Amino acid sequence: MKTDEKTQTYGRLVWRRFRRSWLGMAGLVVLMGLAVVVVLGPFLAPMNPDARYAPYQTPSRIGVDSDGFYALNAMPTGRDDPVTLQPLLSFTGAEKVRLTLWARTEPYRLLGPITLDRRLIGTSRIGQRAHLLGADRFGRDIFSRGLVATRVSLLLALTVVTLTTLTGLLVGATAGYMGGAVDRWLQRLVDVLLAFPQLPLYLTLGALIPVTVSSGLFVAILIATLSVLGWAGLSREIRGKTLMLARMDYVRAAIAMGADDRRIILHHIAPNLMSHVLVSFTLTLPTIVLLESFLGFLGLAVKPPMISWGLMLQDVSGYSAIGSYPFILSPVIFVFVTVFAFNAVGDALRDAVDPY
Amino acid sequence: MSVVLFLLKRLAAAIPIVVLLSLVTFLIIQAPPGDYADNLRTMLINQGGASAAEADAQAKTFRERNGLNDPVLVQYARWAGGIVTRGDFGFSLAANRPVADIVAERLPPTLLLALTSHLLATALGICLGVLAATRAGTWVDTALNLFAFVGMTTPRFLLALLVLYVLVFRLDSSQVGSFQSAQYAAAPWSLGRIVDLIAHVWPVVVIAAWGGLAYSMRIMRGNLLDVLNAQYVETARAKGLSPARVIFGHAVPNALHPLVAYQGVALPYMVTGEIEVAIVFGLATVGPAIVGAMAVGDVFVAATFMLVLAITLIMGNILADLGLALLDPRIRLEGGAK
Repeated sequence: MKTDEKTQTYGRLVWRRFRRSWLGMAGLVVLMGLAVVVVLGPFLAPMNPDARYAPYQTPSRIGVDSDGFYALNAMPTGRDDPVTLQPLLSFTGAEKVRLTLWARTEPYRLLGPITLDRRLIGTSRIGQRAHLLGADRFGRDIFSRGLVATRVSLLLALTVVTLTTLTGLLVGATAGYMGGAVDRWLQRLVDVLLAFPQLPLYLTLGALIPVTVSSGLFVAILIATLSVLGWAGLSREIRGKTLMLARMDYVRAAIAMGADDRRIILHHIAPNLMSHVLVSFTLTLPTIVLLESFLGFLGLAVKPPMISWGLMLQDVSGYSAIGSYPFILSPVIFVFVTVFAFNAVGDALRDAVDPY
Repeated sequence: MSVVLFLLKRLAAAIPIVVLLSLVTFLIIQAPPGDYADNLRTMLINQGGASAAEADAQAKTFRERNGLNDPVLVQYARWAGGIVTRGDFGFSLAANRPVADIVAERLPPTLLLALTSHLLATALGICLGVLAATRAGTWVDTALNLFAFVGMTTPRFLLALLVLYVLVFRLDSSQVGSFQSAQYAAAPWSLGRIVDLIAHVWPVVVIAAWGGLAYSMRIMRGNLLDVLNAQYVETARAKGLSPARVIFGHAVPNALHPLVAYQGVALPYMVTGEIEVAIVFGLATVGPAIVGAMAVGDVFVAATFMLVLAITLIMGNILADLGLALLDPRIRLEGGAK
């Protein structure tokens, strides 16, 4: 028998199948990018996300000449659009704002105690402006805000999904393994939670949070609400799988050999649930990101100084501004990219976790 | 066991859930500080020019008249009692008319829109699923799979925002946000009015159907692929039946079952979609009504809509189970058959 051939572990087999899906690989690359943005967001942002300039600035035009990259900011021409009476803008005659790598800027906080006074890309002189995606209602740079918001939006979703996954796993496995009265009561609870019309309930619960609470407390309440309501679906799936696994011959054999409950759950049942949990985790995350942005659109976003995509979309709900300044819709791009990436990875993972 | 007994049993099991659900919703809705009387007071001061004392007195009488001073549980008992004994859903504080009227006005369009989207999504999804499964491995299959992925993952609310922008500001459509043009509002039903209705609501239907279509297609494709590998399909082919006969006579009917089971899950999905899109479009259905009622503390309207939605979802689930049992004789109605 040849001994140099290593046995393929489960993880390697999954990875081999996962690699075959180009959509999943593309999603994975985007997710890695998002992880970088979560950590380095303020450094990657070309401008201070809270600095205010003139409101509703159209996106700058980026160009390149012999001296490197520059940005042009549209200037009013002095004439008005005959239909909308909005001032007409033009790029001709606009001053070239130089863009440099490793640009100097006023000190800002990157992460915890780490402060920096450089940005990856920025304007060559402090105080100049270049809006890649335009500026919002208060004249803040939408692109920079979108990058910085990644942190809050993703971490919020990550926390919620971690909590719901753990609860769902715990409750589902307990119900499935214990059976009997415990199972019956837990299933009634799950029935009730699943019968709630979720979206209207979130609206209702959103109204419950007082307007005056601090941003930290608001996020905590939001996370608690979404977590309490989110675990039921997964717990039902886990219960079904546990019921099935508990009847498998190898589990019966383990019981016959005198293994205790702890050993059976941890060594025989839990490992077989992991793939399902992993897939569910990846596919639930984007739904929470989306929910956060929808609640934000309805006015239930996190509060400043935090920035989230939902908070940015709050500006859109006025509708009237969309017509004149369509670029304020651009935070949508961040949400789209994130949702697609997570779904692509989750989808490929679902096909890959069953390699045998 | 007969169908009637099955239905009765399931309905009986649903009753405690509905009661608990309505109680919890009612408590949640009542929990925020302030009630409609506070809203009334602010309105009187800001718009009616009343002094603070006058407004306070008005708010006080309003609370007394509508029983808003009673403990929440008493209010719940009165509301729930009214529904059970008299079919009375209470009185909308803001709209100043019975809640039942508002529900009767808002719920049918919501369900109709959700059902239309759903039927459209299912029918198209089945067709595309059959197309993808019968051409598995070809570029048609790949393209349809990509389409399904995009359809399933596109956030409907963001899509609605973008569509709204394009329709209103780029194409200058004035048909968004209402059901009818002014000239048809009070007109009797005619072909022209129906065409007008479709011209107004199609964006909502298309967006709500978009994701459901992708789901149905995926399920149909997967099932049909499984069924096409079954031995009886092989037999049918070996006997020389035409490919169309094999697919539509033998394979498709048997691949439909999981799709019926999926209807129970699909209903909340479609209703949620309709609500999301209607909120963005400001279409006068249940979604905006709940948002509006919550904003001013119109308790009974919000609670009733939540209750009605929950009941709709539970009924949908029961009907889906029933449909599945009727379609597939192997599934017995007693349940629990292992």
